Amino acid sequence: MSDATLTEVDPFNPTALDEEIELRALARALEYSEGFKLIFVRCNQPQQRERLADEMQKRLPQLNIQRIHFSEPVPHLLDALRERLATTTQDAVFVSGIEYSLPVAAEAHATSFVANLNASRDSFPQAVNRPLVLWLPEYALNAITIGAPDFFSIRSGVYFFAANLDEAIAAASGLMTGDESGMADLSLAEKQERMAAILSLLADYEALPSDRSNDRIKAQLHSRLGGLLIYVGAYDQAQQHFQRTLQIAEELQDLYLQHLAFGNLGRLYAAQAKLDEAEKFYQHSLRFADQIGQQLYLGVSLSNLARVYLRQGKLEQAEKHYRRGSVIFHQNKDQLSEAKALLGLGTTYLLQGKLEEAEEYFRRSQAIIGEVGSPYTKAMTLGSMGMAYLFQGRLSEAENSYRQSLSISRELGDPLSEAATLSFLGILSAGQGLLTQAEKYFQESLEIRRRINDRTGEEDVLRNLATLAQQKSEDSETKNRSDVTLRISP
Amino acid sequence: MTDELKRIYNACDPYLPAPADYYYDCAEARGSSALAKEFQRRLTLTDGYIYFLFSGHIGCGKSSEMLQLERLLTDADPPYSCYFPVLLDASDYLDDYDTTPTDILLAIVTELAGTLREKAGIELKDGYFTRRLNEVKEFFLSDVEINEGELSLGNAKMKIQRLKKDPTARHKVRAILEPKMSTMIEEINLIFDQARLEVKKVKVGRSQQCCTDIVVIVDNLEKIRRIAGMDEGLSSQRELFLERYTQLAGMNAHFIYTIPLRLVRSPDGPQLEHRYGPLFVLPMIKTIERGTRAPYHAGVASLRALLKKRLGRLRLEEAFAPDALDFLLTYSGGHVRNLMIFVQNACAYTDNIPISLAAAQKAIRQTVRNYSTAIPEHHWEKLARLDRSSDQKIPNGDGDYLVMLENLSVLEYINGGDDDPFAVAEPWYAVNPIVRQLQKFKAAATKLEQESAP
Repeated sequence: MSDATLTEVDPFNPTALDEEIELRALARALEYSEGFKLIFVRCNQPQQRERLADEMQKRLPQLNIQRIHFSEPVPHLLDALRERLATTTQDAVFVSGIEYSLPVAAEAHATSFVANLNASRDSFPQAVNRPLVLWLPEYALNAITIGAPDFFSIRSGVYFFAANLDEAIAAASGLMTGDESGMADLSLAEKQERMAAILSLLADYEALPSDRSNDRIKAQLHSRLGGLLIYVGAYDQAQQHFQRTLQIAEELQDLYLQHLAFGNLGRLYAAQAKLDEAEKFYQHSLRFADQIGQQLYLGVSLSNLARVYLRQGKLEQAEKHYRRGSVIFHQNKDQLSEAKALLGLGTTYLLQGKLEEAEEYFRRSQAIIGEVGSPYTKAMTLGSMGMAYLFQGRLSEAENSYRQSLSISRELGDPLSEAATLSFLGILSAGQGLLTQAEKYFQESLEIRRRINDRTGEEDVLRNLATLAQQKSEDSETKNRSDVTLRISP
Repeated sequence: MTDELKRIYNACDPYLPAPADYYYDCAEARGSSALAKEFQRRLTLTDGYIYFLFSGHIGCGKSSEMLQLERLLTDADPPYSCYFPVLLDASDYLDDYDTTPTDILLAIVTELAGTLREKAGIELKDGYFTRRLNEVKEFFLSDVEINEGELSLGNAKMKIQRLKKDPTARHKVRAILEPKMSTMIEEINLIFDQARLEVKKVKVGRSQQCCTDIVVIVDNLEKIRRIAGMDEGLSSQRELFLERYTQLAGMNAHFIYTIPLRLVRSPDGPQLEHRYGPLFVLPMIKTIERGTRAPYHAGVASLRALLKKRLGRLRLEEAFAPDALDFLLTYSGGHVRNLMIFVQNACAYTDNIPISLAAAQKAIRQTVRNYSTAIPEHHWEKLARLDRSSDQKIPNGDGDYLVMLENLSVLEYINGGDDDPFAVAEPWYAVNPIVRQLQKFKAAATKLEQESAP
């Protein structure tokens, strides 16, 4: 008897079962099926769908499975299948790319595509006469449930695959490199102007005799300059300025400055994806915030730590810290920070697969940003919404959000966000089989990451490009395959 | 073991209506007569023709009941007479989103002629429809077919069905036929008169009785979503079944039409009943008692018997662990197609029989996930409200509850009146037992409870 049989589960818990259990059940269903059977596989990410379909073929070598991928909308699934079904007898048919026919999730259930599924329900068994497996994202499945209840009612199973957490965190990490200061919202030209002004001011202060100089102000200027340098990717220079802030802070034994300096160093390491170091510095910063007893400082430290936990996959800790932070910001009427904490909470839920909660927090965050008017945070929120849509397989909406986010990041001259968004657009295109477009996005992202010396990001993009090249070569070898989807680690 | 699981999996196909060897009469547990018995009873009472509206939840067993009726009409035992059944699947002819009454009439006459030809070798001698078909055949036949000569009514079935998929041809055919609608009905009635004479000579069934008349069973008519020129949904369904009553009830034969449950339970329900007579709704098989939710043993026993029919030689206890079977039956809510889906899923989550509770739980979880994400947010409170209500009725005309009936988050039952003879045929409603276990439902129920606390 298999483990899958013996393991009791909470039957009313709507979260996904273990991937292996679902794969084995799907394989059995396909083995048992005689004649037409309608099977749904709910899987939100195109590349994961491709991987699982490959795995299913590997596990069932005795079955001759035809894979059909639609890369553009079709008005009528049955008609489209009739044109593409192989003339030879196949044991099963896998169909993907249904989401192209349902571009807007909110209206998907009312489309003629879904209506046609219902209307042609009784013609499927004659036309297909073998198991038909529809691989689709959750929103498309829900649209069919609501808009084509007769079609859905004859299903022989709905197998459910959740996104792999590690992959999801890696994919989302680019969106979690936020900042707490208002400098983020300056345009590139404004940032450069500001840097020049601070440098000049610092030079003036350094030139003053020590009895007239103000070390506290100098430390804060170094801190601000370092912060701006992070935005333009000049990490080494930023580190020098943060070290100087810390040095002054320790000399003065100033609690606030030490809180600020450790927080800056944490940000610097987080921007370079050195998360353990970042966590260490943020913990120091939190300790000083505690000693000061100032609620807003505490909120900032909690949010910074939460962001690192999120990227480390410590989702419970992230949620706890973001929640505390958001309460503090709300009580102290710091709307922008509250919006960012809510955004973080939304992202945490997104990674936990709680998509409705995620969207709810993103919406709350957006509502506040609407009042405060921070383009940087708006770009972050749009990116997060894009990620939420991507996780739900709502590809058109994901692309739309990413494009808006990209446009804002470019206006702000924020290379890190721009590069991350370009990478997402690359992943999105690759998942849709648009390999040339994906390559273009990855190349643009690579150029930026090289320019700002973001080595971790550069490695990620190079890995993506290598996978892309491999997929291109596989596709040219198997031209008769109708599906073109890239397996790519985000 | 795998062979047995494979057999169970395929025997419980949710798509296929029950053939004779799988059919089990659950009438008692449903709290109403089986369709066949009720229809036969009404046939004996009427002097004229019956136009019988038949409804029920998606997947509750309507098609199985109609197949059973078709069998019993030709195999009736005294005192019932035999009838010649014509089973028309509307989905073979009609586009759910673009239908007119003319399309329906054309489908009926074509199916009638085709069935008489196939099942009784009767060729109708018709001039009118043959002429009409030949006037319009250029729109849906190939050049080769056109040159083959006259298209006869008895031979037109497969060709007329092409109109379903060809909107251009369909519209051209309609343009020619629609002005002749009243003549069409008269001509159809002439065909029925001719057909009636012929079927009275046809001997059917075990007793080799001659048929008394013709019964046309129109299945899947409830799936029509849009009548040409009308809004989609209820208004189209209202147009078809209420406004076009004179056409649907204008033909001289007995008819059964399937009608959407949503329309039956809408404010138009009484009007439908007024025109067509008592509506026949096939309810769920009752698995719980009204109000108390205590197990209804007769219902559970019916479901067991129904499932047993699908297992062939295998005994129920060989196929299922006792707790697994109880679990599947309880959470099916007495909905036959859901039970079939659950059993199929359970087969996929196990390597061996008897199917264990763990496999049954995993099987149910597929539906749990689905309801968790597909039920609209504003339905939860209404679901909780229904669950708490003492009469277990749904408010008349509340569109949300009609949607819930359609998506099976609310199930309709009959016969909850206990000792009250006037309440016996009253429908009552219960929240789907799976939905009741979901977190969002529990939260809504708790909130409601707190609000109503003194």
